[in-house]
Amino acid sequence: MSSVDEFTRKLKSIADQSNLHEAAAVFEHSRSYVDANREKLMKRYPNCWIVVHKEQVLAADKDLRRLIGTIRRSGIHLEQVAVELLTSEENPILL
Amino acid sequence: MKRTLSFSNASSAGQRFEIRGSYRQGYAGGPRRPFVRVAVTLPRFDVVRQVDMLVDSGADITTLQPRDSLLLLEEAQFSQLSEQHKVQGIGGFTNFFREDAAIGLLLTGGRTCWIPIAIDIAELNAPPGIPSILGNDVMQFGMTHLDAINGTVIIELWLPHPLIT
Repeated sequence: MSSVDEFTRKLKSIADQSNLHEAAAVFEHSRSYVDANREKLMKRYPNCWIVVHKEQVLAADKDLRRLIGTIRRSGIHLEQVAVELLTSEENPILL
Repeated sequence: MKRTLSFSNASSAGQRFEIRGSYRQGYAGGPRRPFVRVAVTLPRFDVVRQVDMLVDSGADITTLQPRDSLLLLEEAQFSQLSEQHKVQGIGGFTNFFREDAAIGLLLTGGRTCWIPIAIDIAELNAPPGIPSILGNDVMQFGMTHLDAINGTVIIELWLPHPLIT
């Protein structure tokens, strides 16, 4: 078996185990909820990172690493959540 | 680090794939930025998730920033990342870990088209507000259309040997 075949099999295994397409649909739901409710969420969680699953805010924190550590311990499927920073602070980027 | 796999140059005839995205504000009142959504897998760690990536035609390489890498890897796993190196940006040099990865385009029927790359993962103390970036290591396989008027992003990729699962 070639290295390409092995790599392809590995990718398929990872995608199947994580239910990639199903998780992508839930992620889209979570992400769309943030986009549609950004103003409301920003008032409630100003300058915070939030974790959203479908239409539920699971956690909010000003520290991203602490927030993701918290959500990891909760056992939620991380492939399905949207993580967003809610800020009105001007934060231009130059890459 | 060598790429796990590579494709021939983009001028070769190949099968067409498309990544669609949109423009999105980085902060309230700020300019909109072009993003696409792709799957990112790190095969060595058996993880995959969807990532919204900023389309950056000035970037040589695709990078993962902490907001996304922390959802793929536990903090302890960062010590297992192999090679750390510096990458030059406008603001100076940043430390990254290079890791074999693949970018996935979700197709109909539950299939996925994969593009193997070596991805750069920013160290954990990188600024958390920076988005992950889709660079020329992926965009080199096709054409990128940025329509800021209508807020649409389309990346057409022509892959001579698509890896589909």
